[in-house]
Amino acid sequence: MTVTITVPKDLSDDIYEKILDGFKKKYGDDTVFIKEKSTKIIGGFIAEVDGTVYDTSIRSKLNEIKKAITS
Amino acid sequence: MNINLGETAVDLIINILNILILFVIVKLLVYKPVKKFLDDRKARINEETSKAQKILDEATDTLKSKDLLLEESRKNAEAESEKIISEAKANADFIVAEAKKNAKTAEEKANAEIKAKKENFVASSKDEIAELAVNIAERILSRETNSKDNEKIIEDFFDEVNI
Amino acid sequence: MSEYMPEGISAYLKKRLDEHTVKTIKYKYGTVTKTGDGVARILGLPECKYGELLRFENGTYGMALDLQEDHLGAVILDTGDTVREGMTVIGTGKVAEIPVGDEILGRVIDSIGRPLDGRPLMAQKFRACEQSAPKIIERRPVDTPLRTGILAIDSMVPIGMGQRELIIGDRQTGKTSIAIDTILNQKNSNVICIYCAVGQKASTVSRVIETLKKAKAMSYTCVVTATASNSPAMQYLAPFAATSIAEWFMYAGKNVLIIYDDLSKHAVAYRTMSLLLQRPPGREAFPGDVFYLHSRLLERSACLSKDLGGGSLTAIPIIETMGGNISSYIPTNVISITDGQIYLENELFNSGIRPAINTGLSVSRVGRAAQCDSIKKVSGTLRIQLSKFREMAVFARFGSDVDVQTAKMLKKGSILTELFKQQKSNPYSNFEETLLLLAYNNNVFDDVEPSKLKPFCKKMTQYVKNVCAGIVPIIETGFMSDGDMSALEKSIMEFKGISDE
Repeated sequence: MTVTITVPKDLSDDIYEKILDGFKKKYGDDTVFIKEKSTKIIGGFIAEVDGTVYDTSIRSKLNEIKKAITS
Repeated sequence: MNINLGETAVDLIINILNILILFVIVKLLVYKPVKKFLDDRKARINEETSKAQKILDEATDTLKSKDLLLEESRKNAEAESEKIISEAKANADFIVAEAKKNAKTAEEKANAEIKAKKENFVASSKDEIAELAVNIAERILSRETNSKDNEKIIEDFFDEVNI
Repeated sequence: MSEYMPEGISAYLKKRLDEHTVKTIKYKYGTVTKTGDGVARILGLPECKYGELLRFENGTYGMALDLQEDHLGAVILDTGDTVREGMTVIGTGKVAEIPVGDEILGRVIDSIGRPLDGRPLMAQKFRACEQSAPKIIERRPVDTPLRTGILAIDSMVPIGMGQRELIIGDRQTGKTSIAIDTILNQKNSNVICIYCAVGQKASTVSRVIETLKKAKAMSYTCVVTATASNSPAMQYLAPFAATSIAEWFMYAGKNVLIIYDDLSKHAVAYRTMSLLLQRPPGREAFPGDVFYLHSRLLERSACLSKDLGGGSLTAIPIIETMGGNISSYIPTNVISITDGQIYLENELFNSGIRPAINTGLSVSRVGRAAQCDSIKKVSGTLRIQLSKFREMAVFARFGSDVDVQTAKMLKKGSILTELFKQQKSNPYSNFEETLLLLAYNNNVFDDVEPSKLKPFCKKMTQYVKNVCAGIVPIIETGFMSDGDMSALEKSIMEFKGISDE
């Protein structure tokens, strides 16, 4: 199982470890993690695993808000 | 004087005979032709008179019919002129109505355009304002997010997804 | 919304913001591995449903129509080569939807609800394009007439509310004209009209919209259009979207008329799409379910029972034939689905008989149940008379001597044919139709020259309208008592007497 995690550039390592722990709990200890850094997410992270995307980034939440209030 | 009765009677008879013969001759030679002449003349006069009467009647008829025609054509001319006048009036009314209708249509069209423009403006303003608000929020959050916030987000996420 | 000033706009946005809850965003995604000819092959999205709307990375929408074991094929709903290989695709979780509601009336929209008339569309409610048809128990028999205003149709091939009546004919025979005239005639009858243009030229659709606007019919009409330049998927979706819009009104208890112009192009678009999705071709290269395509579309037209509101949806599909061949694949399919057809012929059209309805081959399976009382009383034997006339007309052509009765029948037949000629965009009211047929039945037109028939009828209608002004509104509602009928007959005879002098 490969999990690609996109995190903000200045994320501290221990928080990153937290994310990995959480995913390891679900997918097992042998999951492979790919780390990507991005300046655009502001906060939270985006995880892509097994065709599903979990997007907790603040940026995306703001986008959702924008879409919701203008529809 | 011895009147011979016999001779007087013969004279009388001869005289009477003379008169008779004269009468016949006169009748044949004079009366008949004259009568004929008079009859012919009468007939001719009658003929002429009836001819004249006929011509008079015809003339009267012609005069009458001419009067009628005149009257008719006068009526026709009146009707024609009335028709023309009413047609012209109807045309004028029609033109005025058309112009009014056109003006109304132009007004309606203008109103509809204004309404559409307004709606477009409102919709695009809405989008722009939302975009602006989100941009501002982004700016602020990208500066202010710290590790505590990140931790919280991650915790919430895993709780929600029930891992 | 249109009254909002800037303060109003921000208040509105604030309100919407309060209503919104922030959730974790979770979605499935796939990747485009191959794209071409309007079809994209996508890897991923294992839980995608059939017909689900997909959104590509660049905002284009697609519809998943081909679900295979290891990939899925999606038709791209927008034209243009905007989708590239490698793009991510998100499943929206929704099937194709269309906005519905009263705000749709008067608008021109495309198959996925985007407005095409320059104004934004604020829709509150949405409805899936694919819906199942009303069940048997939810329907009631057709009993109300839908007046087209065309004398030939209302008298001999009447359409009822809830019926499906096909208009079939070659190109340029007046099919769209009949449909548009029917829409124009619904002005005062509380019927909502939807005009669905599939695969038409944009100029044709624009002309139709102009006609509707000029006649002030747009206030109760909505136009759903997928022109010939739209992708086959949009053309495929358009009738379904239009039907969903109509169904919303039907379930709200209203009477709706929907016109599909035309279903031949719809079948062709479906064939294009199916061949591109590599589905096996059948007869004439159409996919095997082309019958189901039209049957499920037309079955959604119904006359609902009183429990469900008593609304109705009348469908008038249009099919274009080639060379008058109504026995080819798609025409026979749709003829077997609909409740009757109006058959338009080229020869009739060219010989001046417009609308060019072939009354012998046209039929309405609902028939007299869909006629109002007044028309029913005067139209009893028209079809028989016309068919006898057609039989005998051959003799007349050769100038052969015919007996007195046949000559009379020929004369009456030619008068009736002349009577049925009607100008475009000139619908007759119920009263006018009843009057014309009543006059015909009373042999009023027998000594009128065919070329003078129309002015005669106009004057007669005017005269009777003035004389019997009280009866006119009653007949407009459809009822005609015997007393009214004799009053009308009397004034018709009076007019005939006056005009003979």
